[in-house]
Amino acid sequence: MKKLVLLAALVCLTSCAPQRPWIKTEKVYTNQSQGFTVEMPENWMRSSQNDYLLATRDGFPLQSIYIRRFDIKQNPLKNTKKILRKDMLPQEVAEIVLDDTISASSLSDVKTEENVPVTISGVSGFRMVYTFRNISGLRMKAVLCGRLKDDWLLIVRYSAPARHYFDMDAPTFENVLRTLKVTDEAKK
Amino acid sequence: MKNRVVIALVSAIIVGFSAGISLPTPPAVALDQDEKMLWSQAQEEQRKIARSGLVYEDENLTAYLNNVLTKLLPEGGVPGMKPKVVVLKNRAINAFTFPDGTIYINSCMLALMENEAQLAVVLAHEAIHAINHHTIKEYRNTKSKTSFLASITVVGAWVGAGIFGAVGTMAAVTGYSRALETEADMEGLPMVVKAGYDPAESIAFFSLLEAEAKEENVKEPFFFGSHPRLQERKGNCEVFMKSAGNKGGSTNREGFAEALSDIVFDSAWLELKAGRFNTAKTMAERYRGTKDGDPKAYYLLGEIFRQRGDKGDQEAARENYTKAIFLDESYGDPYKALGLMSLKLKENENARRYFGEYLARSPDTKDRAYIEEYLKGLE
Repeated sequence: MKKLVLLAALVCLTSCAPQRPWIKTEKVYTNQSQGFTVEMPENWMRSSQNDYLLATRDGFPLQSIYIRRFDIKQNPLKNTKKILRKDMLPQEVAEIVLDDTISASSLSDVKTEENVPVTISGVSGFRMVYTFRNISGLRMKAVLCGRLKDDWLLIVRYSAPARHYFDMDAPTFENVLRTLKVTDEAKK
Repeated sequence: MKNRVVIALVSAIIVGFSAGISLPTPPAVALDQDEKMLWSQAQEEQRKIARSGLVYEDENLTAYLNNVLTKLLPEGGVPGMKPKVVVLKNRAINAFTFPDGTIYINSCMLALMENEAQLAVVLAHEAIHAINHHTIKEYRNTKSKTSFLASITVVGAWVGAGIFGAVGTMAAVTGYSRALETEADMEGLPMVVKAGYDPAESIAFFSLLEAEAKEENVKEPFFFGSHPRLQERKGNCEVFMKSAGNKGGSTNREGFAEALSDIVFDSAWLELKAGRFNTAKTMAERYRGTKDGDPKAYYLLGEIFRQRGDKGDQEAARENYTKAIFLDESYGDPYKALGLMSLKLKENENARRYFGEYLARSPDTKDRAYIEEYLKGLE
């Protein structure tokens, strides 16, 4: 009986061992469930969550790259009640995504610097550059690219404090963006 | 027990009011050590808010709001404090007060109000929090001061009010006890009456907030969170009205609409961005009511209809854009919107024409690349 209890405890301890929240990024990161691959820079860490890619070098508040695909049927925008439809133009999608950012209670003073059409992994999309203040009042800057194909909204975002940090890793982000490939358009 | 205390308090205030004792006596100026600490912390938090970019800068509006506040305060002011109003760019329906008497009121709450009497009700309520030193009373009533301040800071961060700090979050989010909120209502209403405003507007304002909560699908707006619930506070006002007698008073609807027109316009845009089309439409129509000749009012209404996309909205959008162009032929944005509508309807010739007109009027627009891409596709 004692052996059984010990065995159960051992099984529990191994299965309940906490997963490390941050792990070193692979050179080529593949997310099977989200259906995309991307080449990542050396010495960056990523969240061990598999629903999205969230990567940083010095710490999440200092710079982050975030890639995720959303099913628009699930109403992925949390701060605006506007709804994305698959027949929308990239400009319309960009404006709704920006409206969602502006409507977030945790951000303030959002200012758009750029909003232009781009092609992401072969599909027409958008690219926005904007600044905002985070919950601590710190001025941040972000590049947010996206595209809508069928029911899937792809978001690629780089965000860092506007002063010093943004410029430091902006070229790294551009390299990451260039290597992004959606491997399975229909799959999440 | 608590209810009895509240009822006793309400009765005492009403009796006092009926007997002509209309305003609270300002307390002594001297602050105890703990209150000095709270004031100092509050001042630091206010400096942070001032730097945050959240403050709505409009000198005329600020002067107007402070003028209404001055009318409400006892003659000669409040010893030891200089109450004032600051507007924050924020969609949340909220107003709150720092211990030194600085009242913060969110832009969309102001935009929701219909007249000056409703504004007076809110300002009087908030002023009482400061005059009666509610922050320190609340603070002293908590057993563990440190964990209290820490926990409300966490709450503030959680609801997106991290910028306010501990004192600000207590005022803005977690609020005061039910008894103190009732006191603020019941001592605030006599101030409203004394300044010549119609206190019945307090009930009208609560009804507006009820409708707002329904539209937003929230139980209680922040202004009422964890305090006597909306119905209870509305009930307080009804009790007050019965006791004081409905003698009417000023609402200054026109002056209020004129003074707040810009903030109503800005708030309507914020509501539209949040996809709250009905509130945005109400505000846009209110703005149009004061600025009928302003093409921006019609463009905004056009955008609300176009983006909402209900039955009949496309026609309504087109009408509003056309009116905006009629009022100002050089205004580019309505042309872009008409171009987008035409593009969607595959009315290519119209789309080409409207986009061309748009770029001719707004050559430096940030979305030029999109428009050029549409035009290329239409060739």
